[in-house]
Amino acid sequence: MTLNDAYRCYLRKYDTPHNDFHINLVRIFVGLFFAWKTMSRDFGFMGLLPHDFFYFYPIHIYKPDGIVLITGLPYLMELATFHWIHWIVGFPSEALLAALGFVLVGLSLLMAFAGRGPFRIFAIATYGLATYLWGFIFLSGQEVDSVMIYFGMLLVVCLANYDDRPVWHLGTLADQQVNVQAGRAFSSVLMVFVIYYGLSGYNKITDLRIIDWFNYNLIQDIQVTLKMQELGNYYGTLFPRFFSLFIGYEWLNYLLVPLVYLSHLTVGAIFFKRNYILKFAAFYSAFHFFASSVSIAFTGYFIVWWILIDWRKILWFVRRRDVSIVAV
Amino acid sequence: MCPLSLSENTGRASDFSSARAFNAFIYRLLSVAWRFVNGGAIKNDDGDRLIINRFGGLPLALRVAHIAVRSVPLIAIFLFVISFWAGLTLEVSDHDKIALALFFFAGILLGYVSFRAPHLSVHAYLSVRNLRPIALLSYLLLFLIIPFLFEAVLLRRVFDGVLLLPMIAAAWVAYRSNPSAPWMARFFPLAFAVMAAIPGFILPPYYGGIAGWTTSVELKDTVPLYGFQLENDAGAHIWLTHTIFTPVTQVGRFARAWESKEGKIGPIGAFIMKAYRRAYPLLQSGYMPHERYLGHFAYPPHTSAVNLPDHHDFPPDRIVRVELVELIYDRSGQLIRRDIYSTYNVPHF
Repeated sequence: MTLNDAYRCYLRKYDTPHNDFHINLVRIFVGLFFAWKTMSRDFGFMGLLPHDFFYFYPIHIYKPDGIVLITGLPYLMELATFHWIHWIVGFPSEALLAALGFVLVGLSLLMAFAGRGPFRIFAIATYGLATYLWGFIFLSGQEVDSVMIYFGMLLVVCLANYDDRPVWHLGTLADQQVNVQAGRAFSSVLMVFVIYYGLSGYNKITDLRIIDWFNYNLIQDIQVTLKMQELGNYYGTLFPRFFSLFIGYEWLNYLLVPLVYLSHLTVGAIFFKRNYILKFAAFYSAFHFFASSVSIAFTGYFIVWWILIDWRKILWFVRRRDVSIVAV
Repeated sequence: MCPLSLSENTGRASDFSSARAFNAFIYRLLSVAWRFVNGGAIKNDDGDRLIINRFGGLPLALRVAHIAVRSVPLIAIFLFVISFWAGLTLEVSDHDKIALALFFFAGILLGYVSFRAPHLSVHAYLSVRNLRPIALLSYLLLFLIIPFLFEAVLLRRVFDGVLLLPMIAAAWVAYRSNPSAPWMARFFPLAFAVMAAIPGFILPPYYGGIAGWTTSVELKDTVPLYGFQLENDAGAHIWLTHTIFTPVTQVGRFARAWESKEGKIGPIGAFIMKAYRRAYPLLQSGYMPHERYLGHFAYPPHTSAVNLPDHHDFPPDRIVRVELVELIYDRSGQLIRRDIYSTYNVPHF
């Protein structure tokens, strides 16, 4: 086995046929997610800020002897977030930013329900506007980690060639044959996950010594979080009673944390063995739920794994059961 | 003020000529570097001496291997610059300084070897590409050892990134050698290799993955709570929910961003009052600012917000003070002390 062989194996797997129905579900899911999250984030707030507040670049967030974000530099960040536009035109007002938030919600819903639109304009516009608005958050020092997968999936929706249908014609795809184009789109979606979690896994090797894998005091961290919450702290976990069950079981630190790091390193398995998707979905939902014990809520990632399940198969299963019930 | 506005762009002619000179210098530097890494001769697997003339003359794999090999001295120089910069700007430990010096000399030595006997380095590259056991074992050992050699994460990342260069070369060769495969399929492995190799890669909305970090929590006898508190005219205090800064919903981030510009934009307390006035109708109704449109069905903030206090006694016109405080409790819940780090007195006209 050489790298060339591995690469050929990867390319063969990339072409595994899949169904267009599922890719359309991914599009709907991503559209609904952006609509939901945008409606829950008040972008008009950014219009209140003095312009000089921006830009707090990622390179300023952490000391480089700890966590490193070396390319989070001026100009590069503006180019990536479409904020270069403010080199030419002025800064939007509070009302305009709030309006842009609603436009993004509209575009996301349009993309979700009506499809990518002519020349994929709905999807591309959603991507561009979402990047611009989220750029305000990125340039205030937050959140790239909790939206990267969604932006990656949205980019795949923009670029992939598959049979795109509006919601009201989705039923016509339910019985369609699997095909390579849809397979490539699905493989690309999987690669977004593999890159996100795989790179996190790689960082666990480069940034940490192996012994550090066993030095994360998760259970003690939960205990402190719960105590702070009990004393009236303004942040904490949404499920304090559930997580209090784990207090005292410090040995879990040596099991749970390394297990997560190991899962990051092996996440490529979902690409090569598609029947692993369900297992990883269950594991990662549990992991992101558990991360909320220390007040970090990756809500989007808690649910995103489940869109990778082949829902058409489940629908077929349900439908067959209906048929059998009618027949009886 | 945005970093580069039109008004700032109307420079004098001398500015343009110096910019042209600078561009010409950079171009010259890059072309010399490119000629260096892309010229010369190597031997192939059969021992034939092959002359490389810019882009032609060799299979792509060998050409890329040659470029990767010839890059080693440049990388050594780059690492020297990095180490020099690190020595100046980071609090690099003596341990790291010694490790850096050793790696610099190792880089120069490697560069010299690659210059005198490039076929050895090409064989090394081919060993990696062909996943020979010796290459895999070396990689495993190096990845395990490097974090022990350096204390600063940046240095660990830089050296691990250098190790990944053959992977980038291989991914690039694969990208170029399979034109019939879809470009997206070929793009992903290359993107993975580049994002991993560049230390601290971030190009929003994409970045190089969650960093490896660990936290050692000691259960102490005291519990500290830290954040902004509002004081009303009756002397009562409440915590300010961090969701007031939505769409920035991670605890501490907004304040840190503000702090970095405070000299230009004034005290954060004044802005907090502005935001508080805007959010107060929601807070009074028991909703947080991110719940403005969807109520309790809103997407939760990145840091979970809990314990929203009753705001009825805290209308904006009754707020007299915004304070950044740390409250220290003992484990039984008794307040031991209240440290005030900064105070903003709200002007009332």
